[in-house]
Amino acid sequence: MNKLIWPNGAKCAFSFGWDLDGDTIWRNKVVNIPNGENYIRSRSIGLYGIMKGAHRILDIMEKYKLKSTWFIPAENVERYPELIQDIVSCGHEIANHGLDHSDFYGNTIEEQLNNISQSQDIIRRITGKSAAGFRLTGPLLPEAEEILSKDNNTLYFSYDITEEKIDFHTVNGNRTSVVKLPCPLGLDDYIQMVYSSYPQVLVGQPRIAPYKDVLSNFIREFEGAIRFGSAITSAFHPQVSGTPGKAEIIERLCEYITSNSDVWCTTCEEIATHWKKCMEEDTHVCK
Amino acid sequence: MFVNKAKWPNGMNNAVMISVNLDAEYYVRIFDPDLSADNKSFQDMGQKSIEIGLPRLLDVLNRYGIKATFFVPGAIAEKYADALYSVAELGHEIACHGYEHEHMGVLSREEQYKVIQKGIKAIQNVCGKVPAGFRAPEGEITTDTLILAKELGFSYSSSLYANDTPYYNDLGTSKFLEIPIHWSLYDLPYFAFDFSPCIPSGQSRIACSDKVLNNWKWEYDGFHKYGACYVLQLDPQCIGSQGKIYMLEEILNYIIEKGGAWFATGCEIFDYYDELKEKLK
Repeated sequence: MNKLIWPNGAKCAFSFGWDLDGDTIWRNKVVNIPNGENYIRSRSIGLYGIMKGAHRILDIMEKYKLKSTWFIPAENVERYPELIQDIVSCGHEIANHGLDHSDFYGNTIEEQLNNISQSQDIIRRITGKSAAGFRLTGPLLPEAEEILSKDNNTLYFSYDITEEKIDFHTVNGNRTSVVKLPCPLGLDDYIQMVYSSYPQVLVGQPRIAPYKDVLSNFIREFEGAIRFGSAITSAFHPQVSGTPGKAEIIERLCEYITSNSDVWCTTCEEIATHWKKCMEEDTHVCK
Repeated sequence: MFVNKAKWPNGMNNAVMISVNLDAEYYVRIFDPDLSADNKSFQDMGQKSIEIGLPRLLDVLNRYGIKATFFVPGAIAEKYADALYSVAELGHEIACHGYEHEHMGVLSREEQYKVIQKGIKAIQNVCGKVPAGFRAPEGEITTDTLILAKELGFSYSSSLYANDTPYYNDLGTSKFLEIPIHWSLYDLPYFAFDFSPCIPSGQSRIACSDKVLNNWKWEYDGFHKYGACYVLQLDPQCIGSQGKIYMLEEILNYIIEKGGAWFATGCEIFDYYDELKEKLK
């Protein structure tokens, strides 16, 4: 793999990706079981992110002077406009994370594009501009993906948990002008620490990981990114990492990042913009 | 700063509520709320938790001079009436955890009403006092569950996860104090295990107790830093076992050494919030 050079000689680029899912993911799990639409308990786990976690994360980002990207289902953008304003006013990026975090965008190309434009309309109405980045919550038809990729507003997709390399997104093997920013599994707090016995999250009821091990996993992922010159983002969740103890994991990660000149930490939008410009100008890239 | 520290009585830094879920054999319904507890292995676990774990847990609480809040299913209060009566006699708060650890989310409003009422009566009969606190048995609940709990006279709920300081659940026509909990501060999800039926359902290996204690300490560091309300959930069949009771001693030492902790029962937290509400009027 070619090694890329990032601003100020950094060896890797990273953006905190904060998925402000709120209770959407919890509601979507129970809504189709009898009486499930009236369940409030597991949903309250998600609401932690709205009621407390998001603001705590904003405080931590501010303490370390870091900018980040917030992937927010449009439903939450509409429900919590004041919180969204707080995020925007701190200089963070708002990105598209579906309409309601459903994995179903529609049966046809038109339905899917309509679903996406609905979410973009909401984001534009509340924040003043459309999202440049997407972390899709489900699959799109290739034709819909192609049309979305050709939209001038679309700068990047952040989705691939198996990839490490920043690249141009392809549809049916054809390169688009949209940047693909990988989000490795190793930088997901949810899969290591979320817990609910009923509904089972995670399925099988595995134990909550030791926080120290989680931090160690995160740091190892960064060491790898530095070693191989990657550009990555995270799937962190204010409802998970926003609790007082897990926020300590984030603080220690911030300490690592800010004391390490090998890491360029900024928003996904800036990483994608910078990389795309370098590729187009063929500069700052070691081959 | 968006998040400000909460205020606690007498300038204390943060609150600590030691809560005990005295589930006995119903602990299995945490992992599968629709499972029957009528199984010899579960019954044995339940009985041992009362005979071995509970006295050991009470001994630690007594040594540290801490009053805890015991959430008990009514049927367990009746089955182990002498044990529960002695817990109440020691000055711990006895609160309600359903009757047979029912899965409230699948019951009708009327059924929910009946089982909560039955749970209250059982505790009243055994301890001579109506419980003020309600923790919904694990499994799902509906807003009706909280409305009924309030109607039936409870002062507070400690069933939801949406914050780290007490807040008010909006029940439409009224508000109901919630003392929120967190799965990471509960012993059983880290350690419960049974071969048949599988608990946890994926039979993951039990956690390393030192590392769990470490998670509790990390969380305590945060709760202390942010002045939040640290609610530990313990079950004597877990924390009361010979290999785990040290965890309680160590976390209590850790909390006490850091200073500024207001150890409170659910009722004491309710009283404090009630006073605040009066002052704001």
